[in-house]
Amino acid sequence: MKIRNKTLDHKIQEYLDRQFEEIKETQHLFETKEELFMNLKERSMDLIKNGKEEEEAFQEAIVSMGNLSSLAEEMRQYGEDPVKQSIYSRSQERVSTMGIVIGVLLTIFGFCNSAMVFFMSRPLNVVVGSGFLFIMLGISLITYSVLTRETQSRFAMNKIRALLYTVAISTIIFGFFTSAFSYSSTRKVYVAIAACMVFVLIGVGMYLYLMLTEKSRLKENK
Amino acid sequence: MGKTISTDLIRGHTSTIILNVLQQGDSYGYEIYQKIIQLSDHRYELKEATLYSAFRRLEQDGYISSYWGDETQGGRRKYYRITDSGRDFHKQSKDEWNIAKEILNQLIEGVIDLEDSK
Repeated sequence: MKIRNKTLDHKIQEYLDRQFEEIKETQHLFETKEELFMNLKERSMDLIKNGKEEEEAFQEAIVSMGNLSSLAEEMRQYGEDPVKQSIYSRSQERVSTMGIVIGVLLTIFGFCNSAMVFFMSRPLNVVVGSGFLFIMLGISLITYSVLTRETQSRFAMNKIRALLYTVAISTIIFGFFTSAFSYSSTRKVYVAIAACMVFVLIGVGMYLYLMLTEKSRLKENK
Repeated sequence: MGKTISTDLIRGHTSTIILNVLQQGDSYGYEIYQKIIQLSDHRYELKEATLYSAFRRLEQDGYISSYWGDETQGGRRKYYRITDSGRDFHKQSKDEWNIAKEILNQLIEGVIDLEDSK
């Protein structure tokens, strides 16, 4: 079942790429293709469920979708209109920018806190504890904001996925902090390793899974 | 499919039809396509490609707005919902259609009253 679905996905993606060939890749086009992909996929799966062969189902789905050339023409014009493009991404960008700024400030604040406590000659575990929460929050915010941001070379990631990446990374960082905290409290290395193990395992596991199921969001420079 | 209807007749009303569907609940591309077939008792099929162009226009005009749903089957669905101005536009189009319907009826089936033509 899994293998059949892989080729169906490729067929659909190839078809859509061909329909929108030569058109400037914008965030809007990227999302439109994703919407069309889901439509063709669901339609094909319905037909397959009713007994059709994969190739036949795929062909029928394409026919029933209809002629995409006028939609392609609209996307081509949109791609040549920078004003429309900035309207489309404006609010999302603002949120993402605020996220990065606040995230960086939080992280710096966290480090400053720890540094201050360190130079006040407090015990090491207090040094770690006083900065940890801010640093973790700061890095989470930065991660999420960067992932959901459109850049020169790749498109913005889907919010739910970005959230999962953020959770994965936060869990790993939490693991490190827990181990730093336990080590500085007990001065025993094995305690430090035990403390971080669970979190790092969970975090790395999530991260690996996300990486392996990643669909390319790279922009092709035309 | 028994008697079907010419595409030309429906074309100008695509937006209103979509608004009618969304007024009865948020939905996404493929589901909207199916609901339209159902609404017409299988006598009319609005091609999905036409639908997607219409979605873009409606969204630009502020009559509908979109949001992404959860990931299912390896992708996320784009859902559409009708806005307040969309509801107003739908009501307005519906009233215009009812007037046009009346006039067309008279034009196509009406009997000319010879006494009236002075």
